[in-house]
Amino acid sequence: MTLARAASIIVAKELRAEFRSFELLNTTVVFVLIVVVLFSFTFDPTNPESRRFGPGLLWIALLFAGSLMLQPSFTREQANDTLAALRLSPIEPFAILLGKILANLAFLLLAEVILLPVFAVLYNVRILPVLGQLSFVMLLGTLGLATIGTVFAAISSQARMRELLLPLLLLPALTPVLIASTEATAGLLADSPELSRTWVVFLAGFDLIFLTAAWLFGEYLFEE
Amino acid sequence: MNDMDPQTDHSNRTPLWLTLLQFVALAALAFAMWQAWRQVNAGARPAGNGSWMALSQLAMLLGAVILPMLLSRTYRAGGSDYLVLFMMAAAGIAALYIAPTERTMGVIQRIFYMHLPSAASGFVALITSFIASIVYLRRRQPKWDWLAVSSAEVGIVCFTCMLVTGPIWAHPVWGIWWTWDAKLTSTFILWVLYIAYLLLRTLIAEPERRAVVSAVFGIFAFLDVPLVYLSNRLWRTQHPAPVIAGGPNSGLDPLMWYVFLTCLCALLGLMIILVRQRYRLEATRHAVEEMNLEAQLREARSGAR
Amino acid sequence: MTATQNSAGLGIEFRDIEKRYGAMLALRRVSMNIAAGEFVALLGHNGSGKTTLLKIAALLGRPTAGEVSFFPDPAGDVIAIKRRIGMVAHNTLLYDELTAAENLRFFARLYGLDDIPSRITHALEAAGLVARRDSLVRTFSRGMRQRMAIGRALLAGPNLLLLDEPAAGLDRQGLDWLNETLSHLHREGCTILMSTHGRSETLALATRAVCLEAGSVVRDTGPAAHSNEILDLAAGFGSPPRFESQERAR
Repeated sequence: MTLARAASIIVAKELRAEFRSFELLNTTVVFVLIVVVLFSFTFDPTNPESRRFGPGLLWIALLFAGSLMLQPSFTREQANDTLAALRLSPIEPFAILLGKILANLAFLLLAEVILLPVFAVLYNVRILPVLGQLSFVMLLGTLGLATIGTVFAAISSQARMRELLLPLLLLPALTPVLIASTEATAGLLADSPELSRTWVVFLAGFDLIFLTAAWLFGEYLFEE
Repeated sequence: MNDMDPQTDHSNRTPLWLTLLQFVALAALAFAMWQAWRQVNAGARPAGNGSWMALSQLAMLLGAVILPMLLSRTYRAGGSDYLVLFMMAAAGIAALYIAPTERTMGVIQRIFYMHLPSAASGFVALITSFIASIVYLRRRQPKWDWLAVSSAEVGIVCFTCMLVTGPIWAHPVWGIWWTWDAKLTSTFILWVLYIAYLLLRTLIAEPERRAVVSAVFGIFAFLDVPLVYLSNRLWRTQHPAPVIAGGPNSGLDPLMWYVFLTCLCALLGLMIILVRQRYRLEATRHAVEEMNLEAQLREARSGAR
Repeated sequence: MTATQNSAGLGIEFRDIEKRYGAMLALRRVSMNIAAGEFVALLGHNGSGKTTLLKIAALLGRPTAGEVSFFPDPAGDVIAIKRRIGMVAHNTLLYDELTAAENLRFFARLYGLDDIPSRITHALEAAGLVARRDSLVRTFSRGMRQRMAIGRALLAGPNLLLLDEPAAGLDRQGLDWLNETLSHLHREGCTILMSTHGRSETLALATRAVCLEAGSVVRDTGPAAHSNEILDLAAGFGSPPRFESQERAR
């Protein structure tokens, strides 16, 4: 059983479980919407100067949402100790981690697909001309969030106060993603849109480094 | 069970007179520093390179922090501790007296000799923690876990020093406390990250799980260090702001360079002995746990008979 | 009933196994050799280390000291060994938010099994859960969950079956099914290691009993013990344990 196959079986299972109830997606989308609306009370979104804050706001909202909705990917496995069932199976431990990273990536991307048009409407930004490049940037940034988020969720699921701990671990560690994604997004939504090569390369490097680290060290999180 | 009740046994405590002296010294130091800083803020340029006030502050600092360590009966001060004390004294004198006064910023620039070395020793401490975490995961010997947590804690202390000296430097020069300078902001983020590391450790009860899980987190945290610095640097090139430490390579007088090296060595030395002391604390904690376990086993065996 | 993949059972050897959780020693220098095809009953009070030993046998927990090895298996490939192990644990190891069929399908895929739909049907029929095939496991009763858990363990046709109090929650019918399944597997040559405390009918099928007390093996009847002896031993686990003078000096 290759790593890819084992991971894809786990992704399929996660998707199937989520699409039955949509509880994770619903709560994530609503949460991000609330944050976005709340922020609008702190400055005037119709003012063209304040539109500069839009991309940063979007990514902050995504980070907050992520740090809340990534925890269940491991706490749900603690209910009937299904994590032990996964560890019993003849698959390498990293497959479990990779499967969950990809599943969380899928959920986050799905939430973003719903949120992006709403964000564009609320903040009067034009995303259609740059949709392809914007999707690329969102993908890279979300991959960073999903990778570190899933690994840290595995870490915090073994500690007490895990719902409070995960944001505390995650948000400082993700500041590079926040900066890079915000700058890249802002570049694309500016009056003369351009895709910043620096930030895209930075994001790609970030994702590569932490996926490699997860591959090398992630299995230690699944021992007992 | 242990016969000696730790509450009534005072033989190992620091004597009361020494503790009081420590508090008096710290209070005097705080007062003196406040006065000196007010004067510098108001634009005063003291005659000569340093002043008696600065020297007395240095003496009080050393007296408050290092002397109790040396005179305490529980801390077994060795040769390296005296060496570090000497180096700290030398560094203090060098920074306050030997280094030339900088042209534009004046006397306050001397804080640079503490600001950058503390960042550097913090960084060295974090590298140590990173390597110790990796070695622990491969070899599973508890001592590497002790080293990982000790150096992470001392790294946080060093970074705290850097974060405190930054605003102290910035205020007289630019009139604002925090300039969101790239290095300072990055250090702040990493400071919070490593405090999260310590928090994580307190929230996992079982020692082996704690060691393994925090080792993995420590590895990820350290891999984030260069990325945090880089992202902040790149961001600052697009949104420029006043830079606090122009870096030691930006036109440093040779004498300044030597003083900087002296202070760097002194702070590295201080960092090393602090890590060593914290490491010993972990080792002792472990030894006590082992003793408890032995006692339990003996009880179980004798109880069954 | 799915037959074992190749009828050879998997033997297991524990060498000086020690397991610590912080200041607590769960297993102290446990050494034991279980030949392929044996049906071993693991007896002991709560907290004697039975669950920990089973977890180590399932390669779920790393021992603090000592090692566990399987035979015949010169390769030592952990993943290949895991494919041949089935476990019924304290928890059901099932996903509440998936249906019975989906649960089985997921694990069948993870174990790399072929002809999955018929295997699922087979397993559900044997466990008597065909009618609840498309119901979420969340809606199952305790007994039904236990039957699902057992069905899941048997899905890949294990050569080594580890059971942690498998009769818990089973009704008369379920218990009959369990006994029938275990005796069938035993005849096929599967190695079975089952923990239980107190008397139970399933115990009558065992051919060897090992008693654990505070993490050490205090009594080992050896293979081919008489079931009366085993049942008598099990009965002792309701009163304070007596130390046998034949405690092995290991």
